[in-house]
Amino acid sequence: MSRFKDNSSKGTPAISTASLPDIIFMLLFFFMVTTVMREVDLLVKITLPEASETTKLEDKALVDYIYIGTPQAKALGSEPLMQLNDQFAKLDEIAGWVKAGEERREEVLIPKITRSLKVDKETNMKIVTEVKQELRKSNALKINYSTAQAR
Amino acid sequence: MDTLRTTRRSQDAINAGSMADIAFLLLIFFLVTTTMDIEQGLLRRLPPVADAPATPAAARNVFQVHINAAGELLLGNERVELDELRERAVEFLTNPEGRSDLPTMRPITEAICREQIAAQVPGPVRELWQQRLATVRMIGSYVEPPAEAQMIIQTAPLTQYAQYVRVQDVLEGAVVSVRDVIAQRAFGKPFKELQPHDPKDRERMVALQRAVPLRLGDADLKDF
Repeated sequence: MSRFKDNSSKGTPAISTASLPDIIFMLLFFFMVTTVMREVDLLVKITLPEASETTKLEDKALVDYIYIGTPQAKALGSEPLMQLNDQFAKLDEIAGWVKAGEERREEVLIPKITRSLKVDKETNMKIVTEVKQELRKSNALKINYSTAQAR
Repeated sequence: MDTLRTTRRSQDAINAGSMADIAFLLLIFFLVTTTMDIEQGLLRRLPPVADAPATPAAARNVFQVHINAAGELLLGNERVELDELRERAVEFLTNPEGRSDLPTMRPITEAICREQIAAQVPGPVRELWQQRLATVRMIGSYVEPPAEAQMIIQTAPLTQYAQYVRVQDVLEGAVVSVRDVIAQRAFGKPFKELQPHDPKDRERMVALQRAVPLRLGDADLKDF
């Protein structure tokens, strides 16, 4: 009984915060490992369409992105525009973009480069078809329709 | 002199109290600059630009879906819904009743493969038969669609991309469901549960992909 009395009379000791940095570092490493850096600042609004028969893209270093959607800046109107890297681009710029992407990589890896189309679901097929046609002309044949997982 | 002595004597521990704050700052930086979303989508291969116009495939070997500007689906001249499209695509891929308006399926068995390998001179045709033999060994006898059989999607300029992706998804779903039937029979699990990183499963996947290929074209891509 005397023991109980002893403990309660002392009052609550301060919780040691010495291990707090360790906990935070663990969280930090978790996020560093599981996430990837944002590729670019989006200039277009994109809501991806949903699909269920999807494949995960294996090697992100071998993926180049084409963004198509209505511009975020209202002044630019509501027609869908294409974004390559960090800026808006016209259709005839695709060939140069494909070439730049190929020059950045080892020669043996060039056939493995995937061009991922991140297209807003409300976009018309007209621009998508035109982009695909351009990719075909510059022999960039491996493409991916980027989607969100359905349900 | 006095001061010098005192500093040497007392080696103060570095105050680690702010370590947590530094770590927090780093953590918040990573939370803001990174994304967690997994990259996934429908992988497709565009046809290379052809020099010469291809000979048109026989009508029975083409499954053409037209998506109009309102997102309605037309199969030939017939209006269909997405569910029906899937069933019709499965029918096209397997032709179970041997109908004359659908592709003629060619039965592939081990005996036929051996016979052909013995009869052929070394070359691409013989290699193809050796591939088929390997496939038969993995999944048992199967039926093969003609090489020119393919599904084609045609869109209007004003068709919504979402509907196009939905149709792509449904048609791939049809192919996968046909593969599933074979995979369930041969390996006891559906196609999607095969692990691409496991070498044994990888071989199984390749065999299934050979037996039921995904041939999906776009009618909108024109050669010039």
